[in-house]
Amino acid sequence: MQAVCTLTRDDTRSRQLLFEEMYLRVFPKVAAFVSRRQGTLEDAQDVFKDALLAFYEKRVQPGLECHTSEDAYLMGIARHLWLRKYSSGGRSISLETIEGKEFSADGEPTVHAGRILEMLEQTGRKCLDLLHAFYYDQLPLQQISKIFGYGSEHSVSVQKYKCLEKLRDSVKEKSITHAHFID
Amino acid sequence: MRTSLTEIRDTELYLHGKLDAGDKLVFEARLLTDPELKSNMQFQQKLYKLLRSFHLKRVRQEIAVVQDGLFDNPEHSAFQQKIHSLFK
Repeated sequence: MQAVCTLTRDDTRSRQLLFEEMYLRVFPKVAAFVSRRQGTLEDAQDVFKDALLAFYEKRVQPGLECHTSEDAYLMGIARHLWLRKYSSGGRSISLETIEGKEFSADGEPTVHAGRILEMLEQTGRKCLDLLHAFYYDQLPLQQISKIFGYGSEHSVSVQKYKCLEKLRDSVKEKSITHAHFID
Repeated sequence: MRTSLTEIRDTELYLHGKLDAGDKLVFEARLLTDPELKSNMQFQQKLYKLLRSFHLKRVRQEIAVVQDGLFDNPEHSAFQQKIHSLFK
């Protein structure tokens, strides 16, 4: 199969199609691998969800090296995750753990990312959604203004910076007041 | 836009490598002399990382929805039978 290194569009629908395709093609192989090692269907599903997320992250990286077989590449990630997860007595390697490591990489005192994110989701959900629409869904300003109920594209631009300011200040405040989350 | 928002915009351009050489030099000089700007920049950088985590959390939920659909939808009964037969 010819290698495709980037999603044409990184929106919800494109991702859904990619995930379905990879599930139907690769999950049976992962399930067979896990089954041979006395794992359960739930184990296989958990490992595959993590593998698919890692695979997606690689797919959206700029300058990604092409893999001649995406199926083999995804299978390789799943196999690796299975071995790490279950050969060490069931030690979890959840997304939170992986992200925690990334957060520590900047060499600064690090606040537990998952906990801070939960707080932002509780207090700044609308801003998170707006910034997500802008940075990740990459929706046109016109569409964002319609979805979020702003009068003009200019209002959306200003609101984007207001949201960045609001959430940045929340991160700062929570980093100081919840110093016990520092890793 | 008020000054604080202009500063956020400039910080974003700097962090994303989108300032031209001259503006970059000016911004870096300000970072050296303005501790608050530097601190704000560091927290803005953390915020972008949190946004990425937020995005991955969403993608993870999308993957779970796809999985549920494949295992619940009768349209994929052949796939379901194939998988379940592996765990008998």
